[in-house]
Amino acid sequence: METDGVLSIRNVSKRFGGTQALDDVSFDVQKGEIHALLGENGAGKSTLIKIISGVVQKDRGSVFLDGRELKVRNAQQSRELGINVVYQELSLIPDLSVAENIFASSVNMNSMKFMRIGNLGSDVMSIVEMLDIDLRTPVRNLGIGAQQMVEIAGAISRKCRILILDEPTASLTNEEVKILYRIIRMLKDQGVIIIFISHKLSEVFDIADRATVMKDGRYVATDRVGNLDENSLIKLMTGRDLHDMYPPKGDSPGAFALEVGDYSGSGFRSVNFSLREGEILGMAGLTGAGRTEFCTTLFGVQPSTGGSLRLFGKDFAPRDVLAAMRAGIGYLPEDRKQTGVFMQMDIKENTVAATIDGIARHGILSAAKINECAREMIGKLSAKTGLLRDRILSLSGGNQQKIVLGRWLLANPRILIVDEPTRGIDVGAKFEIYQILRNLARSGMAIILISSELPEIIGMSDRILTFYKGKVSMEIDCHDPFLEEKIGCGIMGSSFRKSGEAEA
Amino acid sequence: MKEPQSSPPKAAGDSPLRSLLARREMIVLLLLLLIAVTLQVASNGLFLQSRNLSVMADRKAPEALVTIGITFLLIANQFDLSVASVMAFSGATTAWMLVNGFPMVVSILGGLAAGVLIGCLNGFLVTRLQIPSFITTLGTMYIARSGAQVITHGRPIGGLPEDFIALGKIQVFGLPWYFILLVVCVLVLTFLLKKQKSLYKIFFVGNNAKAASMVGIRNMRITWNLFMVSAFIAAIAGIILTSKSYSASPIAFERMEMRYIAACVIGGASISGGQGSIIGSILGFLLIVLIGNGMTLIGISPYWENVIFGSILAIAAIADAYSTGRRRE
Repeated sequence: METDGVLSIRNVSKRFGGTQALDDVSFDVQKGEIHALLGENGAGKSTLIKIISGVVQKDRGSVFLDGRELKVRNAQQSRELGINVVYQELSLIPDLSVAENIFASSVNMNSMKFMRIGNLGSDVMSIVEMLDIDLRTPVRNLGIGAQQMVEIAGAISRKCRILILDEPTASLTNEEVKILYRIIRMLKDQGVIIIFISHKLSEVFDIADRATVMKDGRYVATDRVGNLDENSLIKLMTGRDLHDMYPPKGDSPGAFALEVGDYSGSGFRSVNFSLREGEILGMAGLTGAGRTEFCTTLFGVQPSTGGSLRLFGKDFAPRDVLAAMRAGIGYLPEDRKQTGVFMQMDIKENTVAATIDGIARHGILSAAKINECAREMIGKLSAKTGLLRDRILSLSGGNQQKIVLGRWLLANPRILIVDEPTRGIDVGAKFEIYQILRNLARSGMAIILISSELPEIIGMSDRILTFYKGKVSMEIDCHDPFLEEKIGCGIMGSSFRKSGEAEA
Repeated sequence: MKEPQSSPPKAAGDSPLRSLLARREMIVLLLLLLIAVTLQVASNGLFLQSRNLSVMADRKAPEALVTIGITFLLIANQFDLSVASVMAFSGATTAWMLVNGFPMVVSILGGLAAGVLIGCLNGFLVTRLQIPSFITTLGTMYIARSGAQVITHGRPIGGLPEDFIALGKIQVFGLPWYFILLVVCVLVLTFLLKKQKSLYKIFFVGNNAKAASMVGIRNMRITWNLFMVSAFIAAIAGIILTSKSYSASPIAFERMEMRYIAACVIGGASISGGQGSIIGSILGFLLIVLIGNGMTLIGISPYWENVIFGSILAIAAIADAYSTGRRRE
């Protein structure tokens, strides 16, 4: 067998405490191939990458490159071998310039050299040109997508045999994704092995040559992308069919939960709508269109500047978050890492964070009660967790999100706002979160769903509001025959003409 | 939906002995015992004499109280550099009021108010104006110190009334009352820190203030209160020590704030917030005190004291960085 330029993974296993993270995984990645690595969170993708890049040591098995076994002890060593990983979380230094950041990642610790911009390799220059950015710009001033590109440029400014991209497109715009594709193809033509992890399956079909699917730490299958479709991939990953991804819609919404009249605040103005119990109301719009701003104002994070709210028939003006919570509102924040989880705290503490006052008796908390609440909630959510006192960062993104959601279920609000509830989590966990949200609605909770993913908005919502430049541009029923077209118009601020009705 | 997990997550730890040994408090305690034994041998039995121990306890107990407030703030991911100056400021205020004819109770309340005022200012600057606590309390450290100098005109205020001096000599069960206060505070707060809901919330604030605010934890209010608590405790300590030393000096406790903070870090409080315990900080403080005392007893030059102290602090900081790093992995 041809071994030159091939990355072979053979019988690799890894155990973390009680969890078998990888179980006898074997597959090959060819030279000059874009190889998608797919699986739900907890399938073992991250662990496998960490083993290849030397961050984590395997228990058994071997990894071969060019037919020779790779023995990598740490990340530095793997970089010297030409293995580069670009993680979701960027490792750039915000106040340094683009050029400095690219160099910082390639300069060897042992040789202090002055940097010369002219020294950047031609690959790096072509990336910089594609991005059309000034090398002297501080990275802080770039958009998140451009930062990601700088990170990739840094990776390939070093010797690069293998480039591993861990969800590179999670925060990119469509335009930036196209540039990223061009960069990836350029590297592929040079014979670089590219391993690509993404939860967006459409991208796998756009860019990958072959795909490997993992599930529960085991290898499932490898195939050419041409032989696969979205449905078959999801079935391989989760054992479920695509078409029952979204639960059926709700039927009979109840009484008014929230009536919003000419409500204004920073980032939105004159918002009018109502929300009923048992209903899922989707909010579509571009980033910055005012959806999150509206919801955080409703949740008491910042003050409103005008208008009125009626909550269950009573006037309501949230003084702060606690007041909003007491009035029966819950909010699952958009940015799980920054405003959701308490990273250094354990699973049970994260679960009860919103209900400390409720659990306490005469101001005193009992460990037994905390455990009981956490265990009950984790059971309800079927979150895969280790010990309750394990730190939450030992969990996958999907399970972390379930814990944060569980926190709000414990608080038992009457109105729950979920802001990008499935961002960055895998298909299986998405499916479960959809089920949970619909069950909550069925039990009478009113839910506001903010999402940038149109299929999710359409699949989940009973009614949809589109936001454009801080205003509600359209209100659409989920049974509307021109649903998608109308949402598209609403998001872009244009009026929908096909059926004759025109809203600004 | 997926099948529920076959084995439900367990809450119980592995062996209780192992988790006990893994705690920082335990390590510091063992280190303390080791030093105590060494000192006992090296000082020919002087160290464990009840006279030596009671002098140490008597002198250091009020200062040990101060580490409690600092521990709260460190857990909340805040610094307080102003405590030592607040001690001097409050002591000076009380002393000035006493010698100017104010009744004792009023003078003590005046000293406490002076301290709390500084704490309130710290809280305001940090929470409302969003100035980092390191800078804020560095500023108020100078302000309070200067305040003490203004009040005392740069000279110690002596000639304090008898009944105020007597206050520092009250004994309960044959021990100084503030020593009993310390023990009670440590026991009660060690128990309550992770049990009482308001104290428990400090950990959430220190771990992720933004996330805490999104679950209805009023992190501004909590932080502000903690600065006041810290200053209040410092004021109490300052006033007790003024009584015990018969005078209020404008330069009292200068540069001691770093000792107190170091004690907490040695005892396991994290400088990146979210971690710490009262008992740990007290043990850390005891360790620092023991080293100072022991070196005097066995006749090592006091100039060496800071070398040893600094080394222990460095080791504690490394341990903190190591455990935090591992947790972040």
